[in-house]
Amino acid sequence: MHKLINDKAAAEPGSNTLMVVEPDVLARMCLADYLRDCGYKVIEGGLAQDVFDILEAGGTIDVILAEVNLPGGIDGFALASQIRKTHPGIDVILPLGIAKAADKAGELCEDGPKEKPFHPQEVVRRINMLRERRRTSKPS
Amino acid sequence: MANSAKQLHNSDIDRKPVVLVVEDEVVIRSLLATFLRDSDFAVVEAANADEAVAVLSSQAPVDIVFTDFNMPGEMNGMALAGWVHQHHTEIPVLVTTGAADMLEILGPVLN
Repeated sequence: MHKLINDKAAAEPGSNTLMVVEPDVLARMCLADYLRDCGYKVIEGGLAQDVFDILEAGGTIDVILAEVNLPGGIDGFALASQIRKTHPGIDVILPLGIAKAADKAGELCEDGPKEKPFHPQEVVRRINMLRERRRTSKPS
Repeated sequence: MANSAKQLHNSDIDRKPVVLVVEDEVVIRSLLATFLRDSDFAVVEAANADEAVAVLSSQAPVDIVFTDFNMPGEMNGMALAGWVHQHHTEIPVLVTTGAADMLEILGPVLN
């Protein structure tokens, strides 16, 4: 398919590339921004298939942070199982829910290229705030 | 591109200009988002129009929407542009397509 991604979206020497797979765009955005603030390159996906598409295109991923419950017929467990077989060098983290995902993002930041910008629970607070605003706006 | 980022920058707000990229193909979206981030834009990524609407409805800051024309779901890029024009009149929308014949169809509309 698109054999283009390696140079730009993938890791530079000495850096780490994470892929956040989360179906809720607001949660994905906040988690990805947080991890970018920690100095990681972050690829965003909403489906397990997005991971396979990135890898097929030649993208490099060091760690996948994936929600367990994913739409599209392949859940987080199936994704992890498949990745273990085909790309054993990629770590797959499967947090259950946003709070756990933020905790795991915080742990990744502890080992990240930059200092943690703020406490990971602030990510949860931001996600909840955006979700509440979306819920109450409801324009047609 | 860095100049474009500066041109979009609102001097009243101390932040990078934010581009909402709406593209269903993850490889293209990721490349485009990386290019824009390297060009000093902040980028929010959405995989379809519904996600874009969710982002805009959450009042997360967005300065411009950059959307593909062809997308799965009920809304394509033009329908999304219509929604943004109705609900967020201040936000410009760029609709793109990789299909050459689509440009012929869209030409008269856009002009």
